[in-house]
Amino acid sequence: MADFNPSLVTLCCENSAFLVAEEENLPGVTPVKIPCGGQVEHYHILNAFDQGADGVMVLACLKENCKHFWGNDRAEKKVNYVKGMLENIGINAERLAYSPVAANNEYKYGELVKEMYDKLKEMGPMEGKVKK
Amino acid sequence: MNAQRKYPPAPEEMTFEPKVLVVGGGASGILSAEKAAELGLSVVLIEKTEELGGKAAQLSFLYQSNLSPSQWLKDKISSLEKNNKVTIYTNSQLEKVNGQVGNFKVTLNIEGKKEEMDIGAIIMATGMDLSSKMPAQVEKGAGSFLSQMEFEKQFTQLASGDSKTFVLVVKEDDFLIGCINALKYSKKLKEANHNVYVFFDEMKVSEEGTEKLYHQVREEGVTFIRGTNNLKIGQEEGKFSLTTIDPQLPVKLAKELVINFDYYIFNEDLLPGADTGKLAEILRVNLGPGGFFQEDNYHTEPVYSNRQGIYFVGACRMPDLLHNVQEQAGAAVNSIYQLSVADVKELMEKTPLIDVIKCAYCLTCYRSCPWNAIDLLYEIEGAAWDGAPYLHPLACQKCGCCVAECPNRAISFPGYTDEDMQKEFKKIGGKV
Amino acid sequence: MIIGERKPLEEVFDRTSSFNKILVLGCETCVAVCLAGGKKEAEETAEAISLHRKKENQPVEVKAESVQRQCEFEFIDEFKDLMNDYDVVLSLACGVGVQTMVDRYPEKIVLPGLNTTFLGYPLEQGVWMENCQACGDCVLDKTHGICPITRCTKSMLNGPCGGSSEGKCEISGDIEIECGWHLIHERLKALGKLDYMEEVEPPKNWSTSFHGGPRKIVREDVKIVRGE
Repeated sequence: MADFNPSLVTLCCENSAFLVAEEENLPGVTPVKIPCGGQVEHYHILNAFDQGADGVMVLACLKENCKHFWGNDRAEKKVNYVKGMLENIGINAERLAYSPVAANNEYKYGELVKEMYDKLKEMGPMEGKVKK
Repeated sequence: MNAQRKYPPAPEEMTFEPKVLVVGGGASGILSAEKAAELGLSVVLIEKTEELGGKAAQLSFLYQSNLSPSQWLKDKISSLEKNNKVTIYTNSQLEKVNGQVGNFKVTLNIEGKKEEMDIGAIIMATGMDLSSKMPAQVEKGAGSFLSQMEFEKQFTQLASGDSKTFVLVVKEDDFLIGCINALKYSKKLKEANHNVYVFFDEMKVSEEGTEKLYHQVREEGVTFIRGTNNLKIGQEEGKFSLTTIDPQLPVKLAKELVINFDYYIFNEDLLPGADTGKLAEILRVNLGPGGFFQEDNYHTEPVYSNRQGIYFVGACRMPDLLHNVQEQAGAAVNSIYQLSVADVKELMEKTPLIDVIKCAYCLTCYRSCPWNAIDLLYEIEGAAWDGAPYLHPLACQKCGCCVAECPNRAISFPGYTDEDMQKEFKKIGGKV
Repeated sequence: MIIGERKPLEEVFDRTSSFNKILVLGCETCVAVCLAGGKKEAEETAEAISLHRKKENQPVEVKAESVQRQCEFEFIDEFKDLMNDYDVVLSLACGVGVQTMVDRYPEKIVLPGLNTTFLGYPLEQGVWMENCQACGDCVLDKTHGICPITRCTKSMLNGPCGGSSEGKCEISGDIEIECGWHLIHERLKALGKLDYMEEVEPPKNWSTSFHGGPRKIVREDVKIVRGE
C-alpha cells in the first residue's frame, strides 16, 4: 500500500480552522468551509465518504470558544453519532475525527492532518471504494 | 412542488424602530439613556423603584476625580427629565418581550398598568444586589462594623474627628470594586489623620490610576497586610480589637499583631439583581457566570447578549466602575445605531431561508438557535402548518445551526446548500 | 404526537439486502417532528445504505424522498410513479404510514425503517416521554391531568400499590421510573383535592382500548357518499 495516496476532507469552521486550512495547501486534503461546527450535518459527512473521501475530519473552534456558543459541542456530538453509523455500516470509525483548532494554530492543524493522513495511509483505501 | 415561498416582511417593509428601552434607572441606565438620546434615538427609561439614581447616587466620592457622584447624577437626571426624547417611568417593570431586534413588541407594567410598545433595541441596566454579613457576633457597639456601602453613606460624619483607627477588610471576590473602595477610603482617611489598616487577599489594581493610588497611600502610612482568613475579633465593653499574624512574615519573625480599632469596614458580596433570572427568561438570553447577565464567550463583545438588539450595561453584566460603565453605555448605543442603519436587503440574501411548504413547524430550529433569532409566526400564506418560524435577518448570525437540525431539510443556507457542498466534495482527490 | 425511533442500521441493511432499487420514504409530520423519520433522516439512511452496499460490493440505487403525511392516500399518491421505479419502499413513517402504503399499493413491498414507540411529547429538545396509551376512555379529569394508565407501571386505577419508595416505582432498575400515583398524589395535594385518593374507582371499560381488537371510528355526519 506504499503507493496509496488517501484523500482527506476537512470540514473547517470559517471562524477558526478554515483560516488555517486556507494557508496550508496540503496534497490530498480538501478543506471545505462551513460557517460553524453547528452546521455540520450527518448527511454531509456520509456524502463526503460516498463521494470518495477516505477520511473526514471536522475541525471547529476550541471548547467554550465558539462564536455561536455551542456550535463546536454540537459538531462533536454529531461526529460521535456518525461514528456509530459508520461502525454499523462496516466502515472503520477511525476514518472520521473531530478536533478543535484555533485560528492561530497552524502547527496543530498541520500535525492533526498529517497524523490523520498517516493513519488513513495505514488503513488503506476506504472499504468498498471503487479504484479508479 | 418545492418552490421557495417568501413570507412577510419584505426587506422594504422592515423598519428599525428608532426607540430604545432602557431597563433600570441607576447610573448605567441614566448614562445609556443619555447616550442614546444624543444619537437621536428616542428613549424609554423604566425604573423599578420610585426614583432614579440607584446605588451610584449613594456614593460619596470617586477615587479618580473630585466629582461628587450624587450631584453629578442629579444633574444628569434633571437634564434627562428636560429632554423631550426621553420618557421616564418609575415604579415600572418589564413584563414581556416579543419579536426581534428593530421591532420588539414590549409589554411594560407602568405603575400597575400594562402598556405595549414598539421598541427597536433594549439596554438592560438592572444593576446588582449587595449582601453584607457581619464578620462577628457583637453584643454592643454593632455600629462599629460597617459594610462599604453603609460606610460610604455616612463617610463625612465618620471621617470627622481625629486619630481614629479604621480597619478595612477586603475579602477576595471576582470584582475589583472592594479593593478600589478600600484604596479610596484609605486616601481620604489618611488625609484626615486617621490610622488605617487594610487587610486583603488579592490587591486588584488593574484599573487606570489605581496602582499609583496604592503606592501613594502606602507611602502616606497606610498599613497593608495580606490575608483575611486569620482575623480574630476580640470585644470588651464595646471596644474592639483585632488579632492576627502576618502570614507573609517568616515564622521566626511572626508574632501576634493586635490592633484596637474604632471602625471595621468590610466589603459586601456583590450579587446579581434578584430579578436577573426572571428577566433572562423574559428576554430569552443566557446568563453568565455567577448569575450575572454577561455571556462568557470569547467572541462576543462585552456588552452584547446572545440576542441581537439586547445589551447589558453596568453592574447587571459585571460590577464595574463608573467610567467603565460610561464606555459600555457608549458601546451599546453605538451598536444599536449600526444595526438601525444596516442594509437589511443585503443581510437577507445571506440569511438561511425557511421553506414554509416543507416546514413541519416542529420548533427544532427555534429551540436550537444559539442567537434566539427565530420568531414563531402564524397565519402564513402557503405554509403547511398555518404558521412557520421566521428567521430575522438582523438577528441571525449566520451560523447554520438551524439548517443542520431541521428534520425536513426545509431551511436552505445560501452558500452552503447541498449543491454547494457537493461541488466542494467533487474536488476530493482531484487536487493531487 | 407519535414518537418513533429509527431501526438499528444493521437491521435496515439486512432487510433491504435482497433489493437493488430502494426508495427511502420519510414522513414530514409526527416522525419528522420527533427527529426520527423526516427528510433529513431519510437522506441519511439512504446515504448509509448506499455506503454499506458499496462496501459489500453490491451497488444499489437509493433515493430519499418524503411525504407530507404518509397516513393519507392523497399524499402518497403523489409518489405513485416514483414507487414504480423502485423494487422496495423503506418507509420511515410510523406503523400507520407503512400500513397505509401497503393498503394503497398492495403490489408493492413496503418495509418499516422505524420502530414506532409511543404517544408522547418532548420534555426538552432530544428527550421524549410517553404520556398517553390511547386507552379510549380518558380518566385524566379524575386524576387531574396525570394519566394513571401510562404513568403507573401497572396501569392501576386505584393506586398506589404500596411498592413505591421515595416516589420511585418498585420495578425501577438501572433506569429510575417515577411512581405515577406518587405524582398524582403530589398534584392532588398541591390542588387541595386529596379526597380523591380515598375514592374507589370501579373497574374500567377496557373494551375501548386495544383489548377489543383494532378500533374504528365511524362518523356518519362527516362521511361522504358520492352521488348524494
